[in-house]
Amino acid sequence: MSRTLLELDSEDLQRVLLAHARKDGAPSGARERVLAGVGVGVGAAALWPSVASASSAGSGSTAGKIAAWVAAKWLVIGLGSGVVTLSAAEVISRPSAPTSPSIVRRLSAAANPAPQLRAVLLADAEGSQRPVVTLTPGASAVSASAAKLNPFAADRPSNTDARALAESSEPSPLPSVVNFQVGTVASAANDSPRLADEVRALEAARAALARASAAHAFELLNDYAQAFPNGALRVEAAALYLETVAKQGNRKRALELAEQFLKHHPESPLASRVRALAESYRRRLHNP
Amino acid sequence: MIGPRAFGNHLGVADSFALDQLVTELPADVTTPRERARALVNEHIDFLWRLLRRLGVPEADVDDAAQQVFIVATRRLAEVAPGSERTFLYGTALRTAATIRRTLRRRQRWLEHATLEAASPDHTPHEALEHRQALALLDQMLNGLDDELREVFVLCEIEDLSAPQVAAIAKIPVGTVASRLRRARQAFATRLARLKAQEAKAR
Repeated sequence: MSRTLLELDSEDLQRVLLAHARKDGAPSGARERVLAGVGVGVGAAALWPSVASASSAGSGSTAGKIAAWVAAKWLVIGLGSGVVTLSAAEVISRPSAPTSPSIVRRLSAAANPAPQLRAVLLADAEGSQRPVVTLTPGASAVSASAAKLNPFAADRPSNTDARALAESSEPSPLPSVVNFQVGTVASAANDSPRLADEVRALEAARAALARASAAHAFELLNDYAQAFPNGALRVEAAALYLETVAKQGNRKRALELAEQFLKHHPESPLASRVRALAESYRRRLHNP
Repeated sequence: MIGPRAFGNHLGVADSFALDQLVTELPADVTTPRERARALVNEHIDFLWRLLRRLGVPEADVDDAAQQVFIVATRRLAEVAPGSERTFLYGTALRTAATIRRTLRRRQRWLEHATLEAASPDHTPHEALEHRQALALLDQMLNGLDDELREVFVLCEIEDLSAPQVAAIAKIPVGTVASRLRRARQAFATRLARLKAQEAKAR
């Protein structure tokens, strides 16, 4: 222990200690590690859900629902890929559909050597209900729980079966002294309905648009905007809205909205689609 | 029927206003959940790291604890009012740190960690060494506080939060915050004085 520090009188020492504490922050490299752990680090984008894997997805398991969160978030609106959107929505809405191995693999994530605390942390950090499922400590348990709670979990590669772990109700034999009890089944179930509602609302609007019923699509989008003022799928709703405006024949307004969309969301995954739409509206306006 | 309807008049400007807001109301700088998550981590990682450490999360576990806090925050970002992100992170960090402390105690690694970290050799330059020693000494003092006192002490004395803010985060009455803070200060000062006395005796 530093003699210099302890030579200070008690009051000064306390002041110095607290001053040091206030200056403390994340050490070098921690930011990158945490970004990577949350699934938003450099390079994570390339691993984000693909159309191919989402289109074959379907599961009623908790893990499946979280996979759907990720898949639906980016895919549900469709914007030209109706098959994909239907499948993504079904992942949430059908309780007993089989699970896509690719989604399960991506879900189980957790390639990083996380400490075994993580399973417990996820449940308690969430403030979720007390344990529902008991998991064996180790990489598999960690990956299952992380996948259940991390909306970006599908970013990460994986090699374990999250579904089996998430659905397990039998305590596993524990090689160490710690029982990892995870209460996230309940919390995930609490969250899923809201997102599922959003997915359903936008899927209905998209379907209406596909049936050339722009008026109905407007009505459904309006309902969505009112019901989910801070919805997770608002960007997607915005893109769908401007497409609906164009479908109804008001390409000039659709072009204005597309330009606003691109101004506000230039890096959105939907930006390239909106850019293409804007270009086509522009062409038709100039060459009717 | 909720709000203005756009159909029937081919998108008159007034009637389509609510829907236009879908496009115009989202912030321009943070456009996707992924970007929002990145922004959240970038803006708050330092304070969160510091908070977790002072709340007793061993250095080796802070990466993972911080990760979990951000994962939870990211999932619930839509529910968090703009400007309240830090408050949300405080609450989540308190729960995370409490879980870690409980788990470590069960595994009886708690004191080992504290001791090892306090005693670990450090070959960094003088200032960094002093900083590290000060933090080790501080953690040694904090480790001796009850969890509920420690949380209030850290939030008030290190994070400079007011009693009402701490009350909201910890979900306890303001009066309880005040009494815990008073007891924490007393306990902290007593432990510090005892340590100084031991050191003086040893010399």
